[in-house]
Amino acid sequence: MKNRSIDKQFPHWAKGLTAQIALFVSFLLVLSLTAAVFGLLGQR
Amino acid sequence: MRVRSVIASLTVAVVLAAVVQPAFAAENLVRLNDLIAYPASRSGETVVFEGEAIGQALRQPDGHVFVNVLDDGTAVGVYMTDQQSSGIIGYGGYKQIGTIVRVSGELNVACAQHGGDFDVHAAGVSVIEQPTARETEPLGLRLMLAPIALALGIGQFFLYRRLRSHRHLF
Amino acid sequence: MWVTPTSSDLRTVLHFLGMLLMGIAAAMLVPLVLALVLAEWAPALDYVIGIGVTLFFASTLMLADVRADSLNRRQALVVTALVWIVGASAAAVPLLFSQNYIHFIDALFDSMSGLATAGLTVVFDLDHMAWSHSMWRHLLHLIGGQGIVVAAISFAVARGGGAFALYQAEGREERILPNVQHTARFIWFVTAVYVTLGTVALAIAMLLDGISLGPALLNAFFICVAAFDTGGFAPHSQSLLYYHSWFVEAVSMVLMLAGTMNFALQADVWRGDVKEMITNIETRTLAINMLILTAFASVGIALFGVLDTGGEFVRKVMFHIVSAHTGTGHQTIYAPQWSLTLGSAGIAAVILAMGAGGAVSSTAGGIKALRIGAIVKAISLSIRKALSPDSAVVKSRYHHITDKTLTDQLISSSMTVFILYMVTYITGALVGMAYGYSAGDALFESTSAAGGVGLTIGITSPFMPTGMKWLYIIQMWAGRLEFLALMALVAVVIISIPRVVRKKR
Repeated sequence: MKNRSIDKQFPHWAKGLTAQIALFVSFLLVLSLTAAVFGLLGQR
Repeated sequence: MRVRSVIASLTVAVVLAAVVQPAFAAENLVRLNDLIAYPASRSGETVVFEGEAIGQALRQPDGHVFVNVLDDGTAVGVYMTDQQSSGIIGYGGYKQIGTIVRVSGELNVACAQHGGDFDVHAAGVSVIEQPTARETEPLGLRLMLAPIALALGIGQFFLYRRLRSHRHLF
Repeated sequence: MWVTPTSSDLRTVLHFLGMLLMGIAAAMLVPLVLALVLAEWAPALDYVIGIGVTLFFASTLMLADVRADSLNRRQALVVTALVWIVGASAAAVPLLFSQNYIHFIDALFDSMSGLATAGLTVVFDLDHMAWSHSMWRHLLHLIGGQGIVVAAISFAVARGGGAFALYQAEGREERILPNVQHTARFIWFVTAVYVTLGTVALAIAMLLDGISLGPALLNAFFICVAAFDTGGFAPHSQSLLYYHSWFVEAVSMVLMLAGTMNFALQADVWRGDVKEMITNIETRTLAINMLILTAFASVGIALFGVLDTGGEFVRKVMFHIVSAHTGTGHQTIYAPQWSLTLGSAGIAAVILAMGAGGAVSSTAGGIKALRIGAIVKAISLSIRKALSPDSAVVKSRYHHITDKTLTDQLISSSMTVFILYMVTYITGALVGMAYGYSAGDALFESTSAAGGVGLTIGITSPFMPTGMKWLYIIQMWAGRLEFLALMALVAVVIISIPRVVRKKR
């Protein structure tokens, strides 16, 4: 009952969620690249 | 069953102790509270400490495990082989005090192999004490307070419910 | 104009306060059941006592006005300010008798830290804590993170008139759905989805590391809740360092980012508007800020010279920037090593990240991204105004769910909150210094408390001075409420004093 009403209000929640997680993971990849590159640059 | 496992672990402990003992000879034990404040310049030193194995052994890819060893509120991860961890038969938690071990190993303030973690790579692990049951918290006072608190709480709640249902009278 | 509160105001406030406390009593059933299942008898009795005491006080407060069924915005502000301290006191009851809290105030410190999703802890011997107590600590993150009021509304404790007034007063000015009950339900829906996914992912990682099923599930749930609610408690004293696992850290970071998202944004994205994630002023501000701070910290820490491989920079620098910026406080470094491994640049970057904080209407603390974004835009606007001809009309636009024009109202409210946070961070640091801690340490810990972060540089411990414990309790309280409700409470108390005095005469 509860879930049905939320499903109705948010029919695309699964798509939104997947996109969100994909974005978080890619952002973390960019961020880790930043950390690694700047870390190694700093050592020069 | 219990007796046999105790004998087995004692044997392991004795064997390990015999093998590793010479390495300890002249070294002083370090307390973990001091150890975690060592600067990176002391990485690579051999350190020896004693503490309780807590939680569970955490399996690592190449036949190794991480065992977190606790001493006076501070725990440090010890990287050891499966073989070295075999003497640790109990891990500390709410209900028991885990095996007390003496660890000697190489200190890594920022371990290159483990993502910069502060850890110790064990050279030797010996069992000092077998796990024991922890003293349970006393029930006495709690057994007295619990029914009183519950009775008061439920009583007051029903009083409220009663007055609320007659609220037109106020 | 100041409106002097009447005694009927007071009784309404007490009534609703009691109602919200009922929710805390109900939540104690969860650790009680866990304690019974795991045969932790002493903690089980602790929760029976806790339920009894909380029920008693909740009912007594509700008796103050048995007819009350709605409250206005002013009363709601006071209820909200009070419920965090009263609720924290009630939540501390089961912890009082535990062997893990040496002083009475320590239990209150941890329950406030839990509810405010700070994550600073003065627990003693955490590694030997009962599972049920760990459950309660992390459950407090869940209750406080989504909001005590939200929790109460969704379980229909606070019904009818006043629910929205309460909801707004909790530092959530944005209405996600027209109906406040639906809003509360949506917040729980998002939480349930993320907590389920996160727990499963972490539990699999822990099972692969050889942890047995029960502890793996509990550990995974605890870490997941603490990350998603940007809390920071952990079931072990080493925090995330205990697990020695990059995967656990990676999953936690995804959960922290998810937890720091605005629930209104979340709703928009879950309606199918994925682009909002990229165009929103808050996500942009957060992303840019994290990138800048990570780059700055990495260079500084590299120059300091302890870390050397790229992986180390990711696991130690980036992880802590993310943990700090999202207001979480999961930590993979020992307190003394902040200065020894990361050096001053690392500490400075982490303090800046902690102070800035996550998105508004999320579980995160700190100044928050919308305000920082607005202030940055306001600065660039004033420069553009100065450079453009007198006759030109210069406006600044930003995107937050819809396209909006930067108004003076948003700028001034952002500035006000910014200044209040700054004053709180610095005042807390000054008090810390007066107690003899170094300036850097005091600022770090003070920012961590007021920003609801929970990273520690070593000041917070069961053995720190009692005054410092009170300081951080108040900072965590003020920071969680974003000052408004708290200042309303203080104002109400002050304007009520003359009235009370007059009555006495």
